[in-house]
Formats: sequence, C-alpha cells, structure tokens
Amino acid sequence: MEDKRIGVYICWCGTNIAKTVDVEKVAEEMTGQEHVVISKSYQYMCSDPGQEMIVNDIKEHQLNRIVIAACSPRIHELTFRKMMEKAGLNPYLLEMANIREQVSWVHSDREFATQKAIELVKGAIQKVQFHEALDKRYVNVNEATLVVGGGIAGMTAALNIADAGKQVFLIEQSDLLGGQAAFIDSLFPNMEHASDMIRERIKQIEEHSKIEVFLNTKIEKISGFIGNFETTLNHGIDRKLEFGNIVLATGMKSFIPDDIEEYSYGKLPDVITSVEFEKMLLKGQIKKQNGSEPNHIAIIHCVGSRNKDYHEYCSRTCCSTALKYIHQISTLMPEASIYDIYADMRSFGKGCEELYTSAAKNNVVFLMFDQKNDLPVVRENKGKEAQLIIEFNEKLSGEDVRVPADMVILMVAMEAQEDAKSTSQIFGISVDKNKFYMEKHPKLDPVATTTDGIYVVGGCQSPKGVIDSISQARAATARILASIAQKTVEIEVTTATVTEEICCGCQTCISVCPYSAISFLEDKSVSHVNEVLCKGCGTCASACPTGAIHSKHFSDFQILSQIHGVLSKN
Amino acid sequence: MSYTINTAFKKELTKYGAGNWNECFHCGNCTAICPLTEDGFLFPRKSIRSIQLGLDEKITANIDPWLCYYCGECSETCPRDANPGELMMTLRRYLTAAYDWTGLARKFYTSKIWEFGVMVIFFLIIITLFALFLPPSSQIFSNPAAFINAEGGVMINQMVDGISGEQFMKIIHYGDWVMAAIVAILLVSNIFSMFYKVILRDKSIQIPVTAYFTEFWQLIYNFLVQPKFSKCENKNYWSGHLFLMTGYTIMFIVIVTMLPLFQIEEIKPWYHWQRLLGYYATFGIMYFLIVAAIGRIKKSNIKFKFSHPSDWLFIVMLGLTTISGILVHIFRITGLPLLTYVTYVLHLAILVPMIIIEVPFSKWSHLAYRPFAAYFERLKKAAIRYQLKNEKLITT
Amino acid sequence: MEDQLNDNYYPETLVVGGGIAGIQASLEIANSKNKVYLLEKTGTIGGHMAKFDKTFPTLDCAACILTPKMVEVGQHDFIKLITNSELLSISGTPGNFSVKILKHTRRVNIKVCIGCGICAEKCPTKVVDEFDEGTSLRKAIYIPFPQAVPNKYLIDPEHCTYVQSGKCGVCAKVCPADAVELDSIDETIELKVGNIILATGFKPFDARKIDQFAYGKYPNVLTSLELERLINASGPTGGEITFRSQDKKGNWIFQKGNGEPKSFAIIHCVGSRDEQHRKYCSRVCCMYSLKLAHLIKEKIPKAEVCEYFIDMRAYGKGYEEFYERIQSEGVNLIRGRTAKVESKNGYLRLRSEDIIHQKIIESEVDMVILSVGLEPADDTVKLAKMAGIEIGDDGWFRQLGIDSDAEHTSKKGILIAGACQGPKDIPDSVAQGSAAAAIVLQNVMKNVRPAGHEMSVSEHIVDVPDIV
Repeated sequence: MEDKRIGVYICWCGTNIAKTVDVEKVAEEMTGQEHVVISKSYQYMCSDPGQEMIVNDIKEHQLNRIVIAACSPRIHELTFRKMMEKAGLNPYLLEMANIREQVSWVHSDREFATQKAIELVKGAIQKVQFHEALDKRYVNVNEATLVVGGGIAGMTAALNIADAGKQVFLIEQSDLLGGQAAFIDSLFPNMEHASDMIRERIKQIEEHSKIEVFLNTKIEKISGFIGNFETTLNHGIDRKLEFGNIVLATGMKSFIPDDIEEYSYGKLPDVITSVEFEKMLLKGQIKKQNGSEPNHIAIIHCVGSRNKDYHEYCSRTCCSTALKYIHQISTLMPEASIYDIYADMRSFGKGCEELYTSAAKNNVVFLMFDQKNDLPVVRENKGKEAQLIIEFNEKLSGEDVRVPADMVILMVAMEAQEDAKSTSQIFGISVDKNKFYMEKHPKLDPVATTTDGIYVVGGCQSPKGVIDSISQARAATARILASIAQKTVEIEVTTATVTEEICCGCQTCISVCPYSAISFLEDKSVSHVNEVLCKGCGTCASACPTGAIHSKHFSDFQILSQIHGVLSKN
Repeated sequence: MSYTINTAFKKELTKYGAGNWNECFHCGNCTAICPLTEDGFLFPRKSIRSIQLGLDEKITANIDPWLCYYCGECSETCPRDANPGELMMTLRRYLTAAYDWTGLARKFYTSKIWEFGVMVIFFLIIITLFALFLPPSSQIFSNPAAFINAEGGVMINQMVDGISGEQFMKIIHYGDWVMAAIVAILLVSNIFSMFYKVILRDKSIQIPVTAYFTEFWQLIYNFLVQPKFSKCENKNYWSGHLFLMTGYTIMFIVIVTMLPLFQIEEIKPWYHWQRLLGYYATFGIMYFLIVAAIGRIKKSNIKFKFSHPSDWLFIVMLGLTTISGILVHIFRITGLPLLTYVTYVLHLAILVPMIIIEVPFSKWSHLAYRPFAAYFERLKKAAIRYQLKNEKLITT
Repeated sequence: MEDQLNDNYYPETLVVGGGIAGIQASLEIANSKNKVYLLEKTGTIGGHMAKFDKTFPTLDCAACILTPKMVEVGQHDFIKLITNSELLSISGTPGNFSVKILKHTRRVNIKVCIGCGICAEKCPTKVVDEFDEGTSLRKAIYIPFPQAVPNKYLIDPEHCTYVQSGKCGVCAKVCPADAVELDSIDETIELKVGNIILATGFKPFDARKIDQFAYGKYPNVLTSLELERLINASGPTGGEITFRSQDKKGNWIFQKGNGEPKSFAIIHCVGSRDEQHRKYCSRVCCMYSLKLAHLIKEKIPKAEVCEYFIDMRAYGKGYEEFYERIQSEGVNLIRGRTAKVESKNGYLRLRSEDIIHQKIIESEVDMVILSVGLEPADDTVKLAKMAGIEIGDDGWFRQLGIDSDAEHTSKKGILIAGACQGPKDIPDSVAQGSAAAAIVLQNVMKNVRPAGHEMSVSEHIVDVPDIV
C-alpha cells in the first residue's frame, strides 16, 4: 500500500458555513490527524482560486487523497472530481464531508456545530484512506429520443430534436396532439391565435420523417438507463422502442372547484371555470346556460391556488389570462360590465404589465379580495341586477361589496396530473409535495432530473404558460442533442459487484433492488449485478446476509472506518 | 353596510371632468405624497376607489375633495398617469352639483348650452332692464360736458333722466341687495344640503353638541385665511389666492354694504383710502386671474393641464367683470360720460349672471364649501374622540 | 426544414455576454463538442449573479452555484473565453457570419500573471468599484472580484495614471512575474461563426431619476444591489450591514464598524410599472425584496424591516411558499408604496398609505432600500443595429413571437437569451440559455456533418491559456 498523503480543505462557503462553524479551528484540528499532510480553509473552495490552490498543493506535496469539507456532494462532488483529474489524481480518491447542509444549515450553536464538523471531517479522513481508484465508464447513446406527452412542450421538444435530424418517438395518451394549448383561443399578451400556432406544429410533426407519433398510448414500463432505454408499447400495437433519452412533457390539469363551497360550482348556473370559458371563446360566442348573453361577467382569481385548504402555490398564468379575458370579452361584448376580483395582480411577464394597463381602459372594475382568509361568496340574487350576486369585503376600499354577475369565471389552479405519482415511479424520478416532477436543481439544472437521461419540461414540472413551456422544452433538447453529438455518455462508477464465492443464492438482493439491476444466474446459483443499470444505492449490500455484495466506494470497511473516525476521541 | 357595485357612475362623472378612472391601480403613492392627508381623510386614492366602485352615496357624503388644494404633486408622481389631482377637481364639481337641491348646478356643469345660455339670458335681461327703465340721458350725446364734475370726472349717478342721483344709486344698491339675498339664500340652502349629506345622513357618527360651538372658530378661520392651502409645498398659490380672495371680499363688502359711500359724484385723489382699497382689490383679482389664465393656456403646471369649460368660464367672467370695472373707472376719471355709462351697464350685465351662476351653482361656491368642509372635518374628529372616550369609559 | 448538409456552415458559435445565461448556453453547446467563443465586455464572466449573496427562493449562495460553472467555462476545451472585449461588427449570413471584435488590452500578460496582488497593493489610484456597485473603492489595476474567471489582473485605462499621463508605472516595477505590459495596445480580431447568441443582460434602473426617493441625496438610501454587495461576505464590510458615510475625499463608502442600522424600509417598484420611467414589470424585484428582508433579519435579528409594495408577485415554483415564510419571520409587509423619502433628525422619514388597514404610516428608519427595476443595457441599441434585429417598445431585444417564441429573433442564426430579452430570474435565464443553445445545436447538426472535432492550434485566435 502506498503511503497515504491526505490534503484536507475546509470551505467557508462565504458566510454560509463560516458563520456557524469555526472553519479555521476545524482546519487546525485536522493537521494533527494521521496521514494528513496539509489542512487549510478557504472562502469558496469550488471557485477557480480555490481549486487552483488544491491542485497546486497536490503537486507540491505529492498528495494522493483529498478531503473537502463543504456543501453537499450533490452540488459539487462532480466539480471536485474534475479538479482531481486535472491534478492527475483519480477522481474517486476524494471524499467530501458535508458541513453545510448537515451542520451549518441545521445547527445554530457555534461550539456544537464546530465540534460536529470536526467529527465529520475526521470520519471523512478515515474513509478516504480506503478509497480505491475507479475508472470512468461510458456507454453509447442511442440517437432516438422518447417524448412523453403531445402538448406544446412535448411537440416543441420533438420538433427541435427531429429538425436536427434525429429520430423521435412521440407518445400521447389521448387521441389528439396539442394538449391544453389546443383548447386556448388566444395567447397573452399579444392575442396571437393559439389554434393557428398549434395546428402548424401538429402539421409539422405529422409530416416529419423523423417523428413517429403514437396516439392513444401510455407508457407502462421503462427499463434501461441513460443512452439505452427501452419500452414495449401495448394498446394493440405491441412494438418495442429503444431510445437514448426521455423527455417527460405530460403536462398539468385544471383544478375542479366543486369542493369550494363559496363558489357553488356545479350548483349555481353559469359559474364556470376558465377552461370552460376558453372553449366559449374558441367558438367566438359568450353565452349563458340558457342561451342569452351575459351583461355582467365576474372573474375570480386564485381558485384553488394560494390557499392552504387547496393548493398553497401560485399557478402563475391565471392573472395574465384573466387580463386577456377582459380584452376578449370587451371585444366580443363592448356593453358588458366586467368585474375582475383578484388578490395580487401578477402580470409579470413580458408585455403583461402593458396588458394590465390597457385592460383598464375597458369597462372593467378591479376588486381585491383576501385569498387566504375570506373568499367571495356566490349566491342567487334576489334583486334584479343579475341572476347572481358575489359578496365579500373589498380590500382596496375596505367596504363590504356586492357584485352583480350573470356569469362567474373561476380562474382555476393548475395541478399535477392525476397519475403524476405513478408516472414518476415508472420513470424513476421524484415528485414534490404538490406532485409536480422535481428538477435536479432549480437554478443549476432546471430541466434535468436526478435520473440521467430523463428530462421534465412544461406544466408537469410546475404550472406555466405557453412561452415558458416552449423555452423549457428547448432547454431539455440542448442536453439531449449534446449527448447524441458526443455519442457516448458517462455513467455511474460506484456500483455493486457480487463476490460469487460468498453468495449463497438467497436472492434477497434481487427483491430489494429498486432498479431491477440484479439478476439470478441459474447455472451458478448466484446473483449478478448489471453494473450498467446499477445506481450504487447500496441497498443490496446492506441486505446481503453473507456480505457477498461489495458496494464500490462505500464498502463495509470504508464505512466502518468513517464511523470510527467520527467517534474517535483524538 | 354593503354597497352594490355601480359601473354607470363613472360614465356620469366624465361629464364633470377628464379622466379614465380605471387607470389607478392603487399603489397608494398619491395619498402618501399629499401633505394634507391624515388618518380618516385618505385622499385621493380612496375617493378614486369610490368612483371606481360607483359608491355614489359615499362620495356625496365625503368631504375629502374639499380638503385638497390641487398642488398637483400626486398627479406628477402617479405611476399610472391617472391624474388623481384632476379627479379630485372633478369630484369638487360633482359635489357642487350634488349639494344643489335645485338641480341647476348639475345642468350648468354638464351642459354648455345651459351654462352659456343662462349667462346670456341674464346678460340680456340686465341690458334690457337698463334700456327700458334706466336709459342714458339724451344729453349724453348732445351735451356730455353736463355730466362732468369739478375734478373733471363723470358724475356717474346723474346719467339717467327723470331720477335723481340718489335715487339712481339706491336702485342699484337695492338691486345689489336683491341679488345678494337670492344668492345667499341659495348658497345657505345648499350648505344645509351639504350638512345633511355629510353629517346628518351618516348614522355612524355622533357629534357632541358642544363641538358645534367649540369648532365654530375653525369655520371663520378657514374662510379668512385658508390655512390648509398654506400647507401645500408650493406656497405661492396660497399667497396668490389670498391676494385674490381679499380683493373680491373687499369688493363685495364695498358694493353690498357701502355703495352709497363709494358710488359718489366726486372723484377722490388717487391716494384716498377708497381708491387705494379699490386698486388693491382690482390688482389682487387681476394678478391671480392672469396667473391662472396663463397657466391654463401654457399647461405648465400639472394642475392646469385639464380645463373643464366651467374653469374657463369663471376666469373669463370674473376677468371681464374686473376689466369692465377698470374701464368704468378709467372713463370716469378721464371724463367720458357715454363710455362710462356703456361700460357701467356692461359691467353690471356681466357681474350679475356671473354672481348668480358662480356663487350658488358653480366654482365660486367653494368659498362656502371649503370652510364648511374644514368645519365638518373637525366635527367628525370630535365625534371620533367622543366615541373613543366613551369606549374607554365603558371598558374601565 | 432543409435537410441538406452545408459545407460552408460554420459549426462555431459566438455567445455575446458572460452572465449566467451566456455561461449556460456556452456550456450546453461546448458539451456537444462544438466550439464556442464567449465574448465578455468586462474583465470577468459571471455577470450580475456574481454580485448576489443568496438567491431566492431556496437561499442558495449565488457564488456557490455560479463559480463552478464559471470554472467549467474557463477550463473547457471547447470554449474560448474572450474577456475585456466588445463586438464591433457582424456581417454575413446565417451559418456564415463574420464578426469583428475589439479586444481591449488588459496591459497585463495573463499567461504570466500569477495573481499575487502586489501590483494592486502598490497602485496609488483609487477608483469607485463598479462590481461593488460603488460601495467601495478598488485600484486602477485590479481583479473584479476574488473568484473572477479569468483570475488575472487588468488595468482600467480611464483611471490609470500611466495611461492618462505617462507617469507612475509602479505596478510594472513591483510585479514579480514581469506580467505588466503598460504599453500594449488593443487589437481587432475576426472570427467566423455559424450562430450568434446575444446574452447581454441588463443594467439596474438609475434611482437618481426619481427625485422623491432622494437617492444620491442621503447616503443611507441604497439600491437593492448596493445592499446585496453590503451583505455579501466578499463585499466592502465583509458582510456586515453598516451605515454609509463620507470618507476624506467626499466619497460615500461603507466601512466596518460604522454602526449598525436598526430599522429598514424596502420600497418596491422603483422605476418599474411607471408610465414616467419604465412601464413594464421587472419581474424579479418582489422576490429579491423578500429575500433582502430575510437576509437583513438574518444578520440583525432584532431589526425592524418594513416592505412597501403595490402587488406581491411571487409567481414561480416555490415563490409563494417563500412569501409565506418571510411573512412568518416578522417582516412587515405593507400594501401601499411609499411616496417620499425625506431626512429628519438624522433619520430617514417615509410617508406611505397602508391600504389594507386604512391609515397613513409615517415612519422613521435608519436605512431605505430601493427595489430598482431592470433596464436594457446601454449598448442594446448599438448591438441590435449591428445584428440587424429589432428592439421592442419596451427597449429589450424583440423576440420572433411575443406569445410563443422567446429565443428566435427576426434574423436567422441570431438568438437571444436571458435578461436581454426581458427581465427574468435565474432559473428562467438558465432555461433560456439552454433553449438558445438547443436551437444552435439543431442548426449545427442539421447543416454540418461532423460534430465534435477538436480545436486545432491554428484556430486559437485569441491566446488564452488554460487556467491551470
């Protein structure tokens, strides 16, 4: 065994870590540890000068193991591994101790936090001594892409990839392409006809030699890994598809407000949702249930949004859409009175504030309500102004008001699809508490997921409008086209392997593997790990009763050494 | 108290002034930048809100528009260019019309035909009355020198045949009293209407009777000095207005109570207190009128950007009255009897319709409404204090 | 779409602007093994994001998520970083653009500079630091910020005594690596590229234009970016929030130990949603104001913080939840934008209408922060002309479809990404950077047969050595 020469680096992370942890003390404590040649701290270890410092030290002091105490490895382990390569060291001879998310972000007592940081770094020092050099592994990338969902996001992604000359399989569960946008009359802020735009895209897709469309189809199972996914389509087709990347563009659905008592949706006539209103606009006629034209139209924002009883989040597009409705109603029926009942006017997009200013020039009254505590109540009107009356405390005047309405349009929230959770499980990605798909990192990587090769775009990631969905869909294709251009992609190295001599063939590992990466070799009666499917989660290694499965980079010995380091007194 | 939204009100209000009320998006900037606002009297935003919602009863009960002196800072800084200053002006016109139980004010504000028409009718009536009952002596043409007095000036009361100078003066004087009485009765009745709409109709406030007396001095003080106006940042308008106001007040007192002393045959020297008083008044009125006229033409200050016909009419009528008065004086001093007579008649023919329309029914009514608004503001505050004191007593 | 492969189509891309959108676009394209020239006007990439302390809504430290990307750009084999340079002209057709670039000289040889900092120590000239938004001073020879990429010094010709008058030259004398080249001159470079992405970002609204907020009149009226720098650990006071005062030369600066303000007011919509300045909404100010309120409370837990807003625009993923969180942290959120800031008895006096509670608020605070909006950068008009694209009525670059296409412009092969298309936050800028890159990749893959050829030595038009 070569002589271990460890370099220890404690990151300040600006004030993120240094505010709570005495980083200089930690660095100092480590200088006395066994095999530690050098121990320092620096403000931003991941930055250029930070990395340069480590690389120089490696060369100058012939370091062969590195410990970096900083933020979560999820953020910068890759960064530092690249740095190791530049310095001529194998990237896996690095161990990170998380003293931000696990220390400075969760503790406030400086002494306690510093002590905990010291313990974690000592553990890392112990573990890294037993790291082995691991070689990078690459797999080929199948040039085809699977796009799940034929809405505007899915179609954009499909077209962008196909126009680059690469094959796309476009899966759509309904019998039509176009998604929600196909049922929109005009887009905000410029009133471009959505139907024209959608129709054009559908035509391009249908005529495209590189896009194969499968309507009335749902994906039931996906197997494989980045660059090499496959699925078999059912629904009467029975066709096997192979592809290298997946774009999930399964969209969102509208909230049905029948649970909101105040609005009497489904109980009183002419109380409709924005989705239903959009369909009226498509026909070019705004008509009540009884066929007559309404004289008083009320629009209520935040239906099902921004309220703990339904959804806490904001659905982003409803305010701009309501402003669009004001314009459209005024054009179709100039004599009608419009009442826009809102909580905050969130017309933030390009051209949308101007839409708000110009909407005010029409025959509209803007009224403010408290969407958290005091919803307007829609009732039958005993007076003669209109068939319905809406009562609430208006915030800008402080008065209790009554709003006459022949028609009430509820701007309903956008929520995740009914089957979002089950779809996420099919594809092996995570959902957040609102069942929207989780991106890898909201800023660093807003369209990728923690599963390599799978991207989430459009409404299924969070509520958004057409233009933002298009940008997101394009963003995903950048990564996909790049991986196709590179022809190979790097995959996980820290996988599990079976030492066949020790394996007793109990198959416990197979039953616990979440990635179906382990198979049973009948002839030898032992388990075998497909190291390409394996994600290195370690479940099998901990389940194995004989210790036959060895998890690379997280061996029992390495982990026990780490624990020993954490608990040691010196 | 629940209000039903009324969208028709906004349309009604456009007759009284410029503006698309909807432009206001309630940022609160105007109310905050106005130095005259305080708790309970939050304008202009709240007034605009009432307009937007069509709360007409609330608007007629509100005295906030009278607490605004149109410095224009709110309009200058409004992010939406919604012109809150002009909206307050529009409300003042609306309230003037609302307080007037005859309905004539409304007609004058909303119909140019009515306003000009009535002016012209009264103009013609005065001319006709003079032509029929007080025609100039034929000697004016044949022997103008007969009317010149020792100082070389025209003997103004002698110009009508058949009546003595004293009788002539008395006719004019009693005519003035009649006009003043009519106008006073109308104005006072409108003040009662204002009182009813602002105080009596509002069941939520209970004003302690003593407050009516203790706060009364506010009424006098505001009438005389306009202290709230002086709180605006640009004090020039307040001082200019004070100049104007003292000017016409002097004129009013002189004409109604002291005409016999002033409309006399002899011409006093220029430094005589009567003449100096007249010059002060004339200058005061003309100075501010010219400032306002130039302002409205050049639109240099935001408060002058929008001119309702009633704004111009006031300037023009008061200006013509003053100019014709100046001409009478000049012709008197320089001894031109015919011109003196003609301009004197014109002066009265312009003055009478102006007073009759402007004071009870139009812009000039602010001489009453503003001080009374200040008085009512104090009464309302006294009511709040009284209520709080009672609540404390109950809880302790 | 044509399917022909074009022999004259250049696979290289020019990205103009080294902010987060430009960085993201460059990385996406470079990771496909296609060459990118990343052009940046200042001495470092990073843009405005490098100035921030924490970012909403997750409160990630901006430097932590930005600097690794900056390092990746600096070290990437397929990215040629051209800093301290500007675009002179664009000619040609989509796929065959010819661009001229004016490379301002740093007067420092970056191949040799070791970044020791002795030159800056000895330099006698102090200049207002634009990276710190004017809250501190730097020297005429400087590194924009400690984590700059490239991490090398440069000389500011407008303030360097030698450049202006021929005197001094101390830096050259003391440099241990002999890296200072005081007499070197600017050069013009010509590049051939197939696609151009404009990612030139924004500039903050100049609050001096609005008299009523007294910015520039009272030292403790700050803009949001100034506060951002003050709170940042690498800012003028190492992250301490202190009062601003005047130094001996009359400059307004922040200094450690200058006293801690106890009460703050944050005023929204300064310059935005305003018919007299910028009519549009700047989209990020509500969120960054909430964030600043949080950061103030974090540093000074007993501080009284009041935010005055018109509408609270917390629309993105996690944004409404962040808004709720700030409300629960004791920050006073008042609907009713402040009208005036005046000075009285050493305090800053504000007058606002509290619309919901129906009263006037007259408060006296130690420090006022103006949430300034975003404006198009100064060279937007010039660039648009050069590129032959249009500018919208709002002043930002005009995209092809205002409702349905944010990245294409009216000119094929020229794309826009990030704030230069319209104000936006970091996640949307990153997504747009990637989206523009996707279009470029699509164009390149459609038209050029081989992708991924290595950069040949002769194509190293600008000699930027590897960082390490």
